[in-house]
Amino acid sequence: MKIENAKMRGFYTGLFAGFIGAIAVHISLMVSAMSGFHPDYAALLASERAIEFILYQLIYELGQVGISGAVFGIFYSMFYEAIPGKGVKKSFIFGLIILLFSNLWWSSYNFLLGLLTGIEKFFWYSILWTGAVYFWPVYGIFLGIFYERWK
Amino acid sequence: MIAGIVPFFLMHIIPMIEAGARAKDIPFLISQAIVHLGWNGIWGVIFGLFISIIFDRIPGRVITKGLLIGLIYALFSTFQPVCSLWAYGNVTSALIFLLGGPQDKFIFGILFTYLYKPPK
Repeated sequence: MKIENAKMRGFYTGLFAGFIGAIAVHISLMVSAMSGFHPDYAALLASERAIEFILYQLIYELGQVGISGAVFGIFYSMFYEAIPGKGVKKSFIFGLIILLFSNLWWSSYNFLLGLLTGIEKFFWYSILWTGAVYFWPVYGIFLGIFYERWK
Repeated sequence: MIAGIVPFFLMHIIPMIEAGARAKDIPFLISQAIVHLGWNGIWGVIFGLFISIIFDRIPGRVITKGLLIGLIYALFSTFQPVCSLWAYGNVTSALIFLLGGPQDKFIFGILFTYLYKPPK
């Protein structure tokens, strides 16, 4: 499949790479819930509503990472030449850039708030934002694979 | 770094002084100011490095280019968290993220464009 318009290519490759990233983060979330990292999620997984919870969580991840991925895909197509690297390496670097500014930025901000106020929930938020480490690098790799293939 | 720190002064110092005058907790406010200055400065440097890579490809002159840089900064820092919060049904927090964040990024963008000279 080939898409001539660069922005449309960025949109579609970003959308599909976002879906794959969403599946990756969903799996990591379920594994971390089963290993006891999220007590609330572990309780839901052990309840009668486990299937409902798994499906809703997956739909939520597909929606939010898919939409974000499509928008960042357009951005990727606009600044394709300027991003360092080649092929998949280029898009992987782009995924790490998004992770840095989109999530580690908030993570550091919440960590700082925790340090200043001593309120424990801010430290928890700072860990929560780093959860994006499970999808942006995966997103970056698949963005490159699709983008180069659909050229 | 300078472009990162100046918006901090504009956005945070005045409300902080007002709050400090009310709370009379000056040492706490001073420590908060120092930490925030460091944090904004560090992220200003990191984002400045990224923008310097794509600087030539951003259209416009000082103001327009600066506003676009601010928009890119806002896009990167708030779009995915807003999508995430919105999808979870936390609309109030999403709106706070969306409307409360971008102003200092636009100031950053304009200052960055004014201060930065791309290598020839």
